[in-house]
Amino acid sequence: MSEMIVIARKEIKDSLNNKFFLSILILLLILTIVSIVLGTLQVHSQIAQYNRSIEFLKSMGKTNLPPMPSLNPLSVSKSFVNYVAMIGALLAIVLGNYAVSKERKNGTFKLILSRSIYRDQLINGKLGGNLLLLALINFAIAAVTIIFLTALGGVSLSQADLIRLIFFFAASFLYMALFFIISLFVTLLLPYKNYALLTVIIIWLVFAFIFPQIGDTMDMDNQLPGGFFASMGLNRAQEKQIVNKFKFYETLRNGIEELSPTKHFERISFALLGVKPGFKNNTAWEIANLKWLNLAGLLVPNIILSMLSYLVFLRRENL
Amino acid sequence: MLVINSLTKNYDGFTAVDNLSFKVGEGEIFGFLGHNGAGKTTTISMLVSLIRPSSGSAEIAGYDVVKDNLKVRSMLGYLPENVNLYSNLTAFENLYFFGSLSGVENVEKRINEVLKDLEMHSWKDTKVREFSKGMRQRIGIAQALLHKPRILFLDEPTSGLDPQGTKSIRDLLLYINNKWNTTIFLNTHLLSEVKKICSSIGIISHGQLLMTDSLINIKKKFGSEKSLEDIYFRIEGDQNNGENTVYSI
Repeated sequence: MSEMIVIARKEIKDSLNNKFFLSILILLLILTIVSIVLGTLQVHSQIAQYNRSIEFLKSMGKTNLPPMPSLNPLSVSKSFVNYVAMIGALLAIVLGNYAVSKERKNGTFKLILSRSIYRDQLINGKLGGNLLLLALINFAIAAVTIIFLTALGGVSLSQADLIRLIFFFAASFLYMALFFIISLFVTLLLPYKNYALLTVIIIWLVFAFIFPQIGDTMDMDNQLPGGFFASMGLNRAQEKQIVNKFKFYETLRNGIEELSPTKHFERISFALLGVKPGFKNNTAWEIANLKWLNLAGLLVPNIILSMLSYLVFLRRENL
Repeated sequence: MLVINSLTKNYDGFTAVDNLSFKVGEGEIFGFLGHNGAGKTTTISMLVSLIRPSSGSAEIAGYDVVKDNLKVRSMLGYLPENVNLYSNLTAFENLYFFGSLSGVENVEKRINEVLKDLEMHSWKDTKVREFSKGMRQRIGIAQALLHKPRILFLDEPTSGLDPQGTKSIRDLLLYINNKWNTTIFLNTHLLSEVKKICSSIGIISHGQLLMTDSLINIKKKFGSEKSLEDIYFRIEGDQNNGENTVYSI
């Protein structure tokens, strides 16, 4: 156990001294702040627009004034979902690649394994240290989000909002952890660092961009701006009726989307942040229950790939 | 200290190390000589229990390198070829990591002792990436010494060093051997290095041991006027001519 902690501590220290890793981390933090600032400006402009309309209506002598539109304070950080999908995944890929390739290149795997420790202590330490680092990164970003939301946006977050944010960052951690594990696994399998990195980047592009893109392009509702069904004046029930007539097509489209961890992360996040309508009155737990399939879509590959990495690490003689 | 019996390593039909048998006594500096690809690194990797032998056995201080691998590893220090350590960490941080992994008690005190012995103490807070190759090798040797090993395995420790750096590592190995009576197993292809510091040698070629003996006996056998280089090439030449003679074990 103590050896595992020593290794985990070294992993964190080494990464925090790595300039490339730090640059990506700083970029992610800056983008978080930018997304909050932009989101806040948008909300402020909506409020100003509402106030102007009210003034105008009052000046016309109207007394039946429209209510203030409900503005979800969490939705201001919605662009952050896209940043995590891109930069967060990249950060995790770099961590996973470095966790193996640097030790290989520097000959330090041999130094560690020539000591009285077991291989599983080494892989556990590596997994533990890097996952803890990803958790700390998400915690730091959550703190920055809350501070900037309240300080810049003048938004007061309710307890329910805070719980939703915590759930969102937990999902963000799972998403980043998945790309870390993919990168670690591929780098363990392939002998050359650059091949491994290139392979993971291709996996990332396919699963994070191409599959969701195919799904979006195939989505009937996306064929017209503003939504195909809405522009045809069809309600939800009618939409469902039509979609049911294209069952195979819809299953195929949905299947392609389900293959993408980014889509799972996006679906959970948009529900938790209130970007997607229909979840406004649900608690974070209820959303987690409703979106269990998407949660499983992030959690199950994490577990499977961790076990595979473990097996490769224990069985491979020449690391 | 080290007893090797019919040690063999096969990789997919290729025999990297073939039936090695020899002994290294306590306090000796043993030079394991051979050209690149002769099987030196594979041998050392089996001895430090990084890889498993396909057959045969090896014992360090009476402990089997496979069955008692944890005990064996606690008694040895190892420096692989071209080790760079963690370049983003300081010398102290690197040593603290390896010392803690080896379970060294009072690790900070021990690091200071070793760094002073190796004349690297003033560099302890410098990041390893700022070190010259020679300095990195010194820190590499320091990490191998932290837990006071009884035997040191060094794989081409002077590879890529300038003459000054080579001499300094050589002097350091003699110092370690004299001060703590540490047995040193030195993988090298440099005859000059062997001549200057080793008390006994083994010559390996194409995975097979061609000869092992003390330097004094070798000189006696081949004639004292012959240089080690002449002897080495004669033995290697005999093998290439198909005469698989093991000169002395």
